[in-house]
Amino acid sequence: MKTRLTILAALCLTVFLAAVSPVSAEESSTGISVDGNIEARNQSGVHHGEVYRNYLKADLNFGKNFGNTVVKVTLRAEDDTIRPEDNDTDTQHLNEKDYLRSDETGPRRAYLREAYISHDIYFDSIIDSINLKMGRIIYTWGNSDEVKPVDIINPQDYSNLYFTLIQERKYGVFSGSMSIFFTENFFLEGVVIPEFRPSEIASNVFVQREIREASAAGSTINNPNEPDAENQENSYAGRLGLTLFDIDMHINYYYGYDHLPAYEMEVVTLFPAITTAITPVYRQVQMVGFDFQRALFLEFQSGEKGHTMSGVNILNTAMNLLVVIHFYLHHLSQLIFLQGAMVLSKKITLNTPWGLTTTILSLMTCTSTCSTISR
Amino acid sequence: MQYHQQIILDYEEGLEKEQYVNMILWNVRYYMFNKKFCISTRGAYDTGDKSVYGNAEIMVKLADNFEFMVGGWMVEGRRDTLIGQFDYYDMVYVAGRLTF
Repeated sequence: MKTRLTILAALCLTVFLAAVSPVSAEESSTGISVDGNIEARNQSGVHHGEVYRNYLKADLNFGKNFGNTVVKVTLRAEDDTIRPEDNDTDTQHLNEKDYLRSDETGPRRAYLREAYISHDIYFDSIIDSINLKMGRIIYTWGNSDEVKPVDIINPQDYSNLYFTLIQERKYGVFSGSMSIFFTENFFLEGVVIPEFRPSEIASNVFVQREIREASAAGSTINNPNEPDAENQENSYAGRLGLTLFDIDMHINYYYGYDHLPAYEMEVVTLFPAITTAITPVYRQVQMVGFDFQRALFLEFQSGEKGHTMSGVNILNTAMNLLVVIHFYLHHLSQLIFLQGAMVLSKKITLNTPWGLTTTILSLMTCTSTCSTISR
Repeated sequence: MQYHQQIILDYEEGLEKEQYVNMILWNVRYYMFNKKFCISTRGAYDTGDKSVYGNAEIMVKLADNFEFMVGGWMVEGRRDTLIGQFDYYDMVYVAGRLTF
């Protein structure tokens, strides 16, 4: 704990110095770019005014280019009261607030959020370029918000549930990737992840109902069976990307561990009372996904075909289609997800009945479909 | 705006799961005054459970590198649903973010 506080203090001091430094957000004489942010947040309940969360975060991003090589490092220091304190008194069983936490425990922590080396190699052949990347990396797969079935490479911190954006919830995973660009519109990407990190559910406030009920009923919640305790299997991911007729398409594949657990319950005693034990187990999963995105631009000039429009209506619509198949190994289940996502941006003027009708039709057109099967 | 449907075709017996889960997610932002002021809302509505969590936020850019935010989260639904189990956790928040 003392070491972590020292790191935290050092990181905060570094962030402060970087913030007041004249070279911040620019490249210094050594060519290292430094930027970052500091955020303070208070969340309080409206019913009794209880404080749910006091949150202080500092991100510090370093970057440096060495020709075709880029190094990026993101350090994060947090003081987050929604995260439970360390519980060193009982290493065998968990209480309901401690439930499923990761190595970076406690409300105060400083850690390496993302750090990688990226190198580009260019060719004058059928292959245009190759990008090699290695380190602790945060991947972003899929185009929609929040619910993203193909975006499963990184574990997440659910201590504040979905009230924190998905990109902020992610933890980087130690991994290596290679992307082969045949053209700027056609690439193949492969990822190897030689570690397993679970998503975190531990929270001082948002404890899942099932866990509360199990705990209240006297069930024992065992420590999770993490894969690394029994084997060291890598996780793998791959992606094929193609842009054709302005449609961005990806075929995604993942073979590895699900970051959220399945639960195994066993009866411990039958007499004098039935007692049970619940053990979270992380299962392997295969995912095959397909997604595409198409930007649509619709522009209507004023006065066209007798319609009186005082302005110009522009709809900039991105349409997503996602088809995902999950195969949970050693586990019989099947799921299908249908998902549609639409992005509307730029100026939309609804000043005529015709303009309103057009917008509604566009909304209907852009309701796309995605499916997921899990086994 | 996003629509999401989950259909369970087959699952181990004894697990309590809804066969169909339909969700509508939204994320809307409206910038004003040269992006110095922004009102936004995001959240999700589960049509099966009739539960919802939603956020409304006002952001004011007090300086080029400093944003001040005030907002709230509302959670509604039955206690036995994924979202509604946190029905009692409606909240307000204030936040500040300095970028450099």
